[in-house]
Amino acid sequence: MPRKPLLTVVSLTLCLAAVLVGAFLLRDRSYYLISGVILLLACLPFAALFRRRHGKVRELVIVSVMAALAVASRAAFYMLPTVKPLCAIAIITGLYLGEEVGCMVGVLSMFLSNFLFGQGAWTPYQIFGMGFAAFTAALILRSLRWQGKRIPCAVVGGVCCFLLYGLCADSCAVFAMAPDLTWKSVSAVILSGLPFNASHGAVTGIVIFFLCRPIGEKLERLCTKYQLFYAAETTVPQAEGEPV
Amino acid sequence: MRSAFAGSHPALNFLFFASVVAFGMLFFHPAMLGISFAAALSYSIRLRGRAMCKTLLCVLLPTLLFVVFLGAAFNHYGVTTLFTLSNGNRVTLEAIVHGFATGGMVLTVFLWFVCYNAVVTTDKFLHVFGRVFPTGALLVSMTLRFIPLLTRRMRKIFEAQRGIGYGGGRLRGGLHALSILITWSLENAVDVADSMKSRGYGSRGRTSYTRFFWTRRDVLLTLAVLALDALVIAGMAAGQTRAMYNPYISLPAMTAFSIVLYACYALLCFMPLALDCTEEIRWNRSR
Amino acid sequence: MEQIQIKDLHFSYPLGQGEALAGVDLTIRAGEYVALCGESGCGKTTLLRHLKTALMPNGKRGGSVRFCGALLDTLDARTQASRIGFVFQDPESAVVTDKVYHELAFGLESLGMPQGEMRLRVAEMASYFGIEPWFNMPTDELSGGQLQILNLASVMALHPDVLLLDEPTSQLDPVAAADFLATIDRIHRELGLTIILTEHRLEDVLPCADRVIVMHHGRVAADCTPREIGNSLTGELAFLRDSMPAAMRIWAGADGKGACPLTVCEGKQWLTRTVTAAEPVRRTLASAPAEEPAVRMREVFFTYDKNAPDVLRGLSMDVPRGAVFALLGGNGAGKSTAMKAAAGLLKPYRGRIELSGRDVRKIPQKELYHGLAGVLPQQVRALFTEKTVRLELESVDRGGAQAMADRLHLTALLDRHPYDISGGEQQRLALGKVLLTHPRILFLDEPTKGMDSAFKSQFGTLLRELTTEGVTVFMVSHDVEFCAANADRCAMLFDGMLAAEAPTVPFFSGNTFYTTAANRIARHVFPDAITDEDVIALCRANRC
Repeated sequence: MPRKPLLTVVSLTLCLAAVLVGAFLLRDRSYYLISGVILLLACLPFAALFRRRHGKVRELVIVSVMAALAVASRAAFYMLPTVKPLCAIAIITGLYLGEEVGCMVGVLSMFLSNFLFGQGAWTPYQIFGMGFAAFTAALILRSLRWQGKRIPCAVVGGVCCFLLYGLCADSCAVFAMAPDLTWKSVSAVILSGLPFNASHGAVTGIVIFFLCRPIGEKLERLCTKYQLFYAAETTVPQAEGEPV
Repeated sequence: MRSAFAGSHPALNFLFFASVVAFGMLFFHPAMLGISFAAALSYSIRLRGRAMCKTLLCVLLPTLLFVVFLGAAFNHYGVTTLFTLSNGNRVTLEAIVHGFATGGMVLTVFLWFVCYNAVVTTDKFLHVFGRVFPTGALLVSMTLRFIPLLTRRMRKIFEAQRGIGYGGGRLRGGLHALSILITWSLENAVDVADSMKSRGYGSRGRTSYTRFFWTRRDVLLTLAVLALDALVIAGMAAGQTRAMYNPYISLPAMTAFSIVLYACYALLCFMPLALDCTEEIRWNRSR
Repeated sequence: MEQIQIKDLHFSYPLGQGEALAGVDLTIRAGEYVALCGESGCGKTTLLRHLKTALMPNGKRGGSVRFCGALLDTLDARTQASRIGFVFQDPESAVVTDKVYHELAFGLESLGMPQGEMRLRVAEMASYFGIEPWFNMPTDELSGGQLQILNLASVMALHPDVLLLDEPTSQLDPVAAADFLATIDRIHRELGLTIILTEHRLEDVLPCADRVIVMHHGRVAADCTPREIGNSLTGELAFLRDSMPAAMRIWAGADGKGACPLTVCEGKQWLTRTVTAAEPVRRTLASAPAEEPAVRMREVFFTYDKNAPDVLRGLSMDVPRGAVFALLGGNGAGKSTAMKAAAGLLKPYRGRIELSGRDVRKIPQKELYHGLAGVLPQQVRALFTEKTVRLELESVDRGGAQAMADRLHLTALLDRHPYDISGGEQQRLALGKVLLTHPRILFLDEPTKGMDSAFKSQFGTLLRELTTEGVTVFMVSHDVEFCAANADRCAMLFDGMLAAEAPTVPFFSGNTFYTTAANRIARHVFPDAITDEDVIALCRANRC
């Protein structure tokens, strides 16, 4: 895929340009706008994932179903409003179907969740954070071949969610609210978001712990049955069984 | 609420909101802030009605106070000291005013997004971005179809599991239901894919059906927004929108140019509301 | 003109035993309306899917399929997508996008049609199928019948020459199903499309079809006009009898002479010619049970939302112990709601519900759903949690799993994944799970939806067996024929209240519209006959 690195380079260049424009042309205090623009640009490589034509319709549908599940999953815990397994489901998907797919699910579900529950200046931060967290967690766990191990998965997933997503999502508040980008005021804003991020990370870890095997089994069954994603690359195509 | 602006072309909606949100994040000048805030507030109340007032009191006011508090507590610049805290830090007028400006900016942007959420529906979003990202647009549309479907299935699963005696706890029950839903929906995905393939999905040269068309008014308004944007940017380049709060409050002198600039900015920000009002007056007259 | 030619088609699934298609030879001419029927697993769906390359199942294949003279495999996907339309069984999973208009345009978008032409076609479809009132709605707010019409319209927008339909009405209620089939008939008459439709409920299909193809064990067992089928029903096609229209069943059962009647109207005329009117035979009615009812509902009020109108408005009824009780009614009458309230799954805001004399609110959950009540939901997939059928049964009751598998004929499937077995088998598995909780009162929500007629009669027998063990069955159903044959008492729910409640025979013989086809055929001579067997027996006794 020669297009992807290109897009990453383009988006990085544009980010740099945005910083320079902010620094030299606008001069005033405009972190709010500049950071938003940078985040939007940083989402470009993600958008490229969705531009690519997908060979198999079934793979496309699975991405869509997993993203819908991630958004709808909060309905499973209607009695526990703090439990939002969106991040966990994106990470688990990435764990089994590849970090790129996990990133797609994270980005898509966060984007739609924003659409359904209201968008704001925070939207690009949250989308970037979710895609970044899902991608990184899946990349770490996959390269260490830790897919089946529940505790490492839960820990890495939880930490990625807490640090990467939490930081990205909070930086919106930092840029918007902090009177000046001094260490004190930034840490005050970050501290005020800490309890929420910590609980979000913990919940993500718990959900990954309980669901990574069940979801993994289901995804693997589907992939081997219909030769999708990794199964299409690793094994020789063989006759598949289709439900009557 | 029916809105004439919401009825115009999605590209115009996007251009407008991109402009006001970007300007809203840029300008610290009290006049510019005030214009944008007043426009955003009045248009959001028109679109959302009473529900808006509740949000205003419960969410926005506390946010504003929090930002002002942050500003006053952490910034100690400024020449006008109001009082001194027990730890020796000064609370200055400049810091408080700056805090109000920051808070006003956050609020204004929030309000513009409230309007954005009401005006730009998924259809419009998909129309604008469907051409650039056809696969992405389809994915969004499909996922939007699945979300309510899966939520409904989730309820059925809870009921069904209870009916055969599986209670579970709050967490265990939820995880159990989620696990069932995942199997159900993933197995279902194959049928969905078949339905797509059977209707030719995957052929080359996909187009997208749209319900939106450019009218003459949309074109004129788009040109007007672009012209106003250019004027505002020119004003900004000329330093007319600068505002300084440190160490003392200083604003650029009022000139004829700055008055023109404010007028242009007001014209831009109040455009949707003005459009709605003229349409309503015409409608009432035609009866 | 020969539009579809199938030559010596063989096919076997990788995991299945034997051939699903064992040498099929068929020629279908343009403009024919073909009903493809047979028992579950006879290969009719497999055959239908072989008529479109994109949907062909994977497996071993031999023979050829030609479309308008060309081999099907040589036609590109684009041509096939537009010329061969396919409507799926489950309307819910066939709808892909979130808005009705987008769904209508989906196929056109895929083929890259220019905007102007797309608008025209979408407009045509919306007006032909009467979609305008819900054109801008989200697809999620449509009923099953509307979804299926939308699927059909979305396929028709591509202007196909051939329309393939795979049991399109099996998930719909009878009214929506009849509407859908009437639309298909209209398409056939007005546009001259070739239609190939598989179905196991043929009541409304056969009168419209030009040709019936019967599949049996992967072969074509019969290929003739609907009327000719009637002549073979006593002979080699006896297995098909239960899925035929009531008039044909009665005609064949009573050894009718002359042309076989297809519709209720024809059946009525035939019956008038053949039999003399009999004295009404009042069957002895089961006297109202004196003992305490299994379910007692008194002035129950329920609503899903505080500001929405009531779904149940003072519903009162008794379900006698050890009986099969059927609650019937139209769409949205509140049948399922009434059942869920009775089972304690929904809490009414007023009124009293007793199960075996105990207030349902005061029975602890543990006791209520372990040995007292068991609920089979409408969508049985909501019950499946495990990887195999065996684990599925064992997850409820380890000890009883094997015996239950034997009883429900699931033994051969024990190691299969619950999603790899057929719809009827899934229904049995779900029932097994519910029965393993040993309920004294069994609640069933539309249990016969999607079942074929062969399994329906087995299922009826099973319910009978359960009642002899003292289990009470409370069933909610649209299936008038099944209730007439298997229920002891029936009730009709309308507008949140009971409109009628009586033992089965007087219940159906008292209704004029809401009754079985057999009763409608015979009521002018045998008012009390409600099932085929009743009519056939009376025919034999009163032949002129």
